[in-house]
Amino acid sequence: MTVSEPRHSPSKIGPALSRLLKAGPLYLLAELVASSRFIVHGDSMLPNFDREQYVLVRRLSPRRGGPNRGDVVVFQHHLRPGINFMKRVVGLPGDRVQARRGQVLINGRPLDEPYLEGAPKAPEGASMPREGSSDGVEWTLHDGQYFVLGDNRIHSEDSRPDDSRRFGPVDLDSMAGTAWLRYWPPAAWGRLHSST
Amino acid sequence: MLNNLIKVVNWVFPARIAHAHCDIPCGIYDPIAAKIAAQTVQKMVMRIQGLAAPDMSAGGDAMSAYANTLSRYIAVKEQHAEVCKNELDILWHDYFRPEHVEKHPDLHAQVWNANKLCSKNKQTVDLDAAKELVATVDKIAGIYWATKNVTYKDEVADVRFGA
Repeated sequence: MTVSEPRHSPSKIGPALSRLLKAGPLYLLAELVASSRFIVHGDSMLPNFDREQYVLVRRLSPRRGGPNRGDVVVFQHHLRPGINFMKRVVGLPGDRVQARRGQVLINGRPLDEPYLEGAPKAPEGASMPREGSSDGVEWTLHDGQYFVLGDNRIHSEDSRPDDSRRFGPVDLDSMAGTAWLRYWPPAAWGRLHSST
Repeated sequence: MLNNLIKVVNWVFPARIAHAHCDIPCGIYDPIAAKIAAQTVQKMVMRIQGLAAPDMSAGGDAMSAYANTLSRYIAVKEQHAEVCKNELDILWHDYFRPEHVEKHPDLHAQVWNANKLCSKNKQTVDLDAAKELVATVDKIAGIYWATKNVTYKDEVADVRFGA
């Protein structure tokens, strides 16, 4: 059995009406204006985000609530001040999270991660993480805390990854927002969902 | 046309960088950051030890100035001991490999010792402990540079440290 999180919206508008409004051009325009643009550097989000791709990041707000599981977020961490990181949310407040050799367990159950399709996987019997790595450590997330990982987990395990295995949980306050649109290059253009 | 427009927008208004690196700063390591932090700790210990407390009859201003200066020295000592730990840990986890440990079997012990000394320097005002921290960081720096076939010698250490 795997953990598969349905997307939820804190909006009080009915789900159908909410979807209808969000499909409208005015809503899209508002999103465009309110978004920040980021360019991806690095390989830790492969195969879903390649280097030099541009994304729009939607600010998080109390009305929207925190990110959903599977959302790709941009955040800063006090250990690396001034640097924006891009990772995927795998753990939500209240979760007990364990990440070991690329496999995520939420409250003891494997997390369903369709976005990892095509990503390299750890070989059977892969060695334990290096001494000092936080890989395999269990975290219990408090209010406002999220556990984030790169998609390219095998690559990341070769060193100390710049994600929650190294930093621990990321606070909602430190997040710039969630990536919602990839607009460059044209071949990769498209809206981003928690499964992509 | 849309492609060109986006190109122009990206050129005129560059997007911010979202780092998706597995690690930063991408393979550039140098123990000098740990050395500077360790020397700063030593300097702060000396400053704390050399700071004369005002006489009890001194006014409130003198007492405030003393408390302020002492607090700053302590804060810098604390911060740089932590910086030293962090820099050493980055070298240990990110740079050093099993083959380095084979050639330098005391590497783990040295890093462990240096981390303990960082903690000791936070807890105490002990010049010997501060000097020992600097010396231990030097040993680790020696191992680091030896892995690059460079003989380590910090010739400007005293000049950097100053009076």
